[in-house]
Amino acid sequence: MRDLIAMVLAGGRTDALGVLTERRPQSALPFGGMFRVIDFVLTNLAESGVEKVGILSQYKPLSLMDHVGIGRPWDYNGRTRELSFLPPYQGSKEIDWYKGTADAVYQNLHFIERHRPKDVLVLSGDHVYRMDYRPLIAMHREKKADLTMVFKPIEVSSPCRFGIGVVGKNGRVLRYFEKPEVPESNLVSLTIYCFRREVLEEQVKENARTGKTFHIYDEIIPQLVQHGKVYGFIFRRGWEYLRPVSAFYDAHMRLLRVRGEKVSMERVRTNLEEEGLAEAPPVYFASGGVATRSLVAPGSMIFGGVRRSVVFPYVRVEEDAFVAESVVFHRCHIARGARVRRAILDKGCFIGEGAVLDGGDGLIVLGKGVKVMDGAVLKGTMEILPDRVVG
Amino acid sequence: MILAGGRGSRLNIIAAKRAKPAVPFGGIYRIIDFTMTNVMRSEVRHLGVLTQYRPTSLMEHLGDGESWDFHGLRATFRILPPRMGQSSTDWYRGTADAVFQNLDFLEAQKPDLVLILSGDHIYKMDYRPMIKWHLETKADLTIAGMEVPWEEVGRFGTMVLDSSLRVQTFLEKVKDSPSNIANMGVYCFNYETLAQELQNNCPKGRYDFGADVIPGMLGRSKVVAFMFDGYWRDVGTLNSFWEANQDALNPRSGLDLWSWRVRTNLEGRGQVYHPPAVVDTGAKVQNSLVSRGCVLKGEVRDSILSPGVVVEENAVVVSSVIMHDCRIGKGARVLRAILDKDVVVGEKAKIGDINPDPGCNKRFPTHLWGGLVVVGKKTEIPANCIIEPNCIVGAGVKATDMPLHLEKGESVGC
Repeated sequence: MRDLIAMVLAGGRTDALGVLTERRPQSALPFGGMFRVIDFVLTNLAESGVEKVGILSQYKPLSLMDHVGIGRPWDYNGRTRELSFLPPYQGSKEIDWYKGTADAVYQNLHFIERHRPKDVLVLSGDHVYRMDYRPLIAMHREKKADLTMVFKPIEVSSPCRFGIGVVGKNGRVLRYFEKPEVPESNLVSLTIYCFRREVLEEQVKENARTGKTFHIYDEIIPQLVQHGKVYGFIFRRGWEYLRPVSAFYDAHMRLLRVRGEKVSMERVRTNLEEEGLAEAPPVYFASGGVATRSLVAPGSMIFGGVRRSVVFPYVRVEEDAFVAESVVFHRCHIARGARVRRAILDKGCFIGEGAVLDGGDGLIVLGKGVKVMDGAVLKGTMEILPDRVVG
Repeated sequence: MILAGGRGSRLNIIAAKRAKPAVPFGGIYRIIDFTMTNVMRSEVRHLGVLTQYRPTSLMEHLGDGESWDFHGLRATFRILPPRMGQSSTDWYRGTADAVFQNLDFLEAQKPDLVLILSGDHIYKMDYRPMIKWHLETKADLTIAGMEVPWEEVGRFGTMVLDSSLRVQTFLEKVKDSPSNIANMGVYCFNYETLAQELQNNCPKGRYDFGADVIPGMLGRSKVVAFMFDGYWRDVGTLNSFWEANQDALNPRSGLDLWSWRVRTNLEGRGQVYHPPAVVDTGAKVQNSLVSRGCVLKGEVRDSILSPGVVVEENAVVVSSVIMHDCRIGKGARVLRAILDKDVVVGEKAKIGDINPDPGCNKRFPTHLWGGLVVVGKKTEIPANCIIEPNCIVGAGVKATDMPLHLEKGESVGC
């Protein structure tokens, strides 16, 4: 698709994921056993035939930049395809950190100007879903819309933490409310926007002069719904917001279920040169090990038990150790006789012999490289900072 | 130079349509990956791969060598198939002839030393200590050797050495060899010596390193051995192929995939697209290697599963090698079997037996014995079908063409 470019907002800092995003943006967070969150959007873009992609990153972008590189795993090399990182740069004044999503686009108008596409997809790199953007683009063009935004009907609570739209019979967005006290409909905005280029340029320029929050969803969308031609595209399949940490956890538990809505991981591509994935042997299940209802990534060795869990590469679960209802990132080591239940373990954690981690009805979250001593007992909801030694 | 043209006829149907180095191994690898990884980790930056027999899948797998880090300005990677020479088509007539016909490639690299390797073996070796030994001993040719059990001596070329490891006699596979030092097929030549020896031998119809070139060098040149004591297997037969796969399940066998960090081309067969393995409710997985994209609902024990294998409810897979995208139907049993890619096993079919069998295949007694069963690529085994030990079922056999009962040692479709 030559007359369309995509801008992926991937650098936002979030506190909602606690220790998991202390050293990385949400888009760089491991997901689904061997991927990172941004892999899903990049796979979507590649499969939709979008040829030019800009990634707007700001918060600790190094792990993201290492991971995405020049986009080779998603086939963004060659004569016509391009993937560029667009970090903040020093402007005429000082260092212009992105003040918000609209400002991030504003500061990168040159990227849009360079390609002069007909339409611009503005997406968040923080969410996990599989979507072919082509029907969205087709609707946008057919309706000659200024903006077409994607909604998904879900069960909403009051007050609502999402943007809510009211969509008329012809697909026109009639009203839009950002995080309303009492939602007027069940249509949640997925922050997937298809803008006519001129409209986007005009709006972000205007916003740069008059904005307060400098966010697209706060300031540009309500403005356009009132004064422009905005359409709603309804998406009904799996979409994971991943915030707060309980949502990140629930998204993983949904991957394990047989029936019901979940995000498909078939054909999702990732950078295999990271974390030794390219050199990982198949998973080894030892005699005496038990694994049920779990996803287990290459390079892992399971001598103990794993139930209802997502296990990333190079994890070692020793004999008589048991991992249940948990998400275990790369290179964690669960020693003999340890018990882990309802926990998220960031990369390289060590759980000592006979230690017990039980999140109860809540969740235990261990930051990168946490070491839990032999025999230690941790129960109930808690979060442990990276590299700490516990017990 | 990697010799990768071998036909591997004793691997029967699994090497019928692909060269032996391209035979899948250990779930996600092909046999040649082990040598490719050795070359990479030894920091040898210029590599030619000599192909001949059915090279398509091998060439696709090797690609431009990038999976093994052969890219950039200081690396050479070249696939060297036979080409038209002065006389008609010059097929490679032997290992030495293959190198001889590519002397121009070697000449262009201007090397001091040439490693001649085989793409058929499962082993991990850093060639640098051997090269150092070669230089220290000022040898013309250094041959890697390893001790093998006396009862297996007949399967290998052997070398009689003196106390300084100089090679005295060089014997091709003989049962009563006075030495149990096997020739591993890993040679380090001085380039000048190699070029001269090939020019002396090949035009006179002496085409083989083991049979012609090396025996002729003894006495005239300095030929020394370099002793290797790690894991090394020539997976020449279906049985040794199956055994080496079993070794991959047990790092104590010496074949330790976790420390070897073998690299392969993950683009092949859409492997790169597969999500992590799914172990479902009802699955029981014991002592097995399970690759990406597998979905397991039944029982798997002592087996090696390549990407995309599905084991349905109540199915049982024991002591087997199951290649890419095979589907084992509900209640089926696959015991001591090798299934090539895309085999579909119907519900409640029974392939092989849990116990070894003293017999052998009737048509190919030297290829298959001991109770294994081999099923070729894309074959459909109908529901309730029974295949007894030592049977071979060829590639692409349709369910409608399959007998419902195959007795011990039978072959069908090959």
